[in-house]
Amino acid sequence: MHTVLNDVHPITSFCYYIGVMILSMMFLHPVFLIGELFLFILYNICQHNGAKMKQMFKGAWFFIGVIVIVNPLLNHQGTHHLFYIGRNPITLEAIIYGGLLALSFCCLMFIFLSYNLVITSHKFLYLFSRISPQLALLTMITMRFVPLFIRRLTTIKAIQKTRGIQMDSGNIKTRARNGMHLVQILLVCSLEEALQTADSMEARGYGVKKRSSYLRYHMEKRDIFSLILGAIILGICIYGKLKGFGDLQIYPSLGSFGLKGIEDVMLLILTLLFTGYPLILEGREWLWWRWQK
Amino acid sequence: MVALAEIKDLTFSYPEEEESALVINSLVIEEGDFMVLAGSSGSGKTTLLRHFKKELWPVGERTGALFYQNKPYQELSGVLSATEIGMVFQNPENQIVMDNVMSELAFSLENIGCPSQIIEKRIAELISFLGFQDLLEQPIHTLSGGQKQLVNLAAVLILQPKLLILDEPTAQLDPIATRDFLGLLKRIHEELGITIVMSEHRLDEVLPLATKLVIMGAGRIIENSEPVTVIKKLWKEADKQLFIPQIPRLFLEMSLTALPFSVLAGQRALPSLYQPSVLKVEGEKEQDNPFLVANSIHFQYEKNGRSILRALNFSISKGEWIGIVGKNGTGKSTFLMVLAGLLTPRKGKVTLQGQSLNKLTQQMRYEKIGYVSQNPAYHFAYDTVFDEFYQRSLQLHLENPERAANEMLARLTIQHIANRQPLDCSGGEQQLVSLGLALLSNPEILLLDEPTKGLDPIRKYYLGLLLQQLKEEGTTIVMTTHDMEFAATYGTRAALLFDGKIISEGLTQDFFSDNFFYTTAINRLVRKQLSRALSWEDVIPYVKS
Repeated sequence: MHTVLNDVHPITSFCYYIGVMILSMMFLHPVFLIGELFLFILYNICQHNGAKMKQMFKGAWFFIGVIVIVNPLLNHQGTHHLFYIGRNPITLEAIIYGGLLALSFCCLMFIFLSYNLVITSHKFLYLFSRISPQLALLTMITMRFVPLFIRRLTTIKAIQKTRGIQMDSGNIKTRARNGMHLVQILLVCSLEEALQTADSMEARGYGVKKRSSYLRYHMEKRDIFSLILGAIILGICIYGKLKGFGDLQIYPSLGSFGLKGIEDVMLLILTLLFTGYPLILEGREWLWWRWQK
Repeated sequence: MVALAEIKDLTFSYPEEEESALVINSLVIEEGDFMVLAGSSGSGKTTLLRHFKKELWPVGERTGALFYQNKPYQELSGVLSATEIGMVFQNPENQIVMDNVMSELAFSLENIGCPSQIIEKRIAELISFLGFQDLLEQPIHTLSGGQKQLVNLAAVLILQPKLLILDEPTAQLDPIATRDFLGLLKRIHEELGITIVMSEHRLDEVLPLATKLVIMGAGRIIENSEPVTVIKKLWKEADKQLFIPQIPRLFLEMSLTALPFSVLAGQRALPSLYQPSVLKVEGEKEQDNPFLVANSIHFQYEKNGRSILRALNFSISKGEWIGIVGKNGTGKSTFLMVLAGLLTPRKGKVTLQGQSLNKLTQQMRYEKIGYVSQNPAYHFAYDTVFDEFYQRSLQLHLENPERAANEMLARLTIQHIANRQPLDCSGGEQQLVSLGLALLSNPEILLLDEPTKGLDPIRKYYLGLLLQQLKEEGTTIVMTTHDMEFAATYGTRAALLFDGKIISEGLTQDFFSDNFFYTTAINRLVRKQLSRALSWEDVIPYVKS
């Protein structure tokens, strides 16, 4: 589903995703993480990613469970001993820390989910094609060829059945030989067709000059403004983290879950502001359509 | 007139071939020409076309001189050649490099180092000219063959060429897409004054556009003049009459002086004909003994994918020859593969002589059913044509595989390529080899996917005769085709496939005389007077002499 973030310049949206990844790994604090998670779920819903979120969760709950369970089994620091397994204490701190890691992991999962919708292969290439245009072209062609190869092999497999070259029956030796035959046919046919592609590339002047690359995206004021503001917020957050704010004290002994002082509150607001960037864009759009019409 | 490109005393031969592939004394392409090249396969059309594009000069021995704007080709710079001379090839699929239309158009300009703003401007301009807005962001693989070929043309036009070279660009397109493509060529010729040189087998649609017609044979130019003059000359030679399209052929047969090429010009010049005394309506025969039956077939490639075939019913009796027509991408090829048992339908059943296809063993199935795909290369597996036939005979446990292979070569009259690598043969020859592979088992039913694709008129004529003979021996034939004339001349029945269903079906004459677009050129020409005539032979009896 198309959201405003899709229209933002690739550099800005790419930086946003880098930023939120840093933030969700940096502040291992339940209030921060739950806030971020909430915003990501909301944004994913805006992107109509609900079904994919469910699917992803189905695949990941086992992994999340492992993080929560394994940490306290291996890590025995902390003062609140809950019970013992053998001679090893299971501490409340370790369980909480495992839980925070799992939360942070969930955040990353949802970040990647929406990243896939926003940073398409074209934007990715755009971002990196200036580093090497040749490599970008090669990636592009390869990306087109993989599905083409698969489609072609399926057809060849079907057609060769009519002349008895197949892998459905016969002993292992004939099957293997037929399989090799099929691959050989695929390669020969593909080379033949690749020659035509090469002709077409050459006819259109490939290699006569240094390639330029067509930049389809333009930096707007909004993109530059967002970049600067984002950089400032991220800078303050990193500074705060280095100064020791925004952390839940776990080891050696569990601190309070609440926020300590005005600095933490400030950091929380900034973090949520940064994370909520696509939602702010979306809201602005919503308001405009609501009130202008 | 100014000569844009010129060839003087060119001879060219491929390595290790004794005979010259091209011997051309003189050929001048003037600015503003629309030159059409015709000739049988292997007459050197492609080789000649490639000589107009320096980057694509074939490897071999070459003598003589080639000029572009009075300068030798050798002095042409890479950038100039890339921008001023554009080339479009036959296969729409293989020319495309990128994965969406926008990048494909940009690709050409990126090659010559255009800055971004100019690329943007040119794309914008071209898109408006061609009316492509909707295609712009689409991934390439979702486009139809006709659209792909338009994209290929656009990717060349964006370089603003002066000379456009096209090598059988419509060979793989359906009739409607062919008309779209040629319509665009006409526009760029007339509105932009781009000089066009194109080779083509089906002259029906291009002749009205051409300013020059060149006939080639054995690497030489036989005729080169205005289309009317050339057609009149071809008429005098019995072995070249097959090249003449249907409409001018009719007028020549009627020995009229007028020689129109298009339906409209033809209708204006057409004399009044005798009215048929009784409308001969052949009653629809009851299908007493259906041979191959498909019952409410549903097919889709992926679980949630588009349904390609929906509730399709089809049946054919023994000894019939049915031609299936329809646009590219309506599921004709898929349908044939389902009939052949190569794809399993999601719902529905195919039965051969009352027996379900999947009950037959694979070996038995493909002895009874001969399937020939539209891509002959996918049938090949060995190093020589003889070996292809020999190995298949072995596989069929024929008594004398060597003799069977040789007999097949003789039957298809392709003995001269027995020791050639199948992929090195011309397109028409490849088509015959793949047909031969299917025929080795003496199949009871033949399923042919576009058998006339890329065949020159002469080969097409002989293929028609061969298939007709098979039909008379009792073979049942189902073919898909874009060639209305072929389906009308040889088929006993015809059917129109649209949106995964057979929309209409009937005896050939009923079917085509009922259609408005999907019918032969002659039918479109004379339908006001003789609604049931499909070919010039049908019209001749009614001519008032």
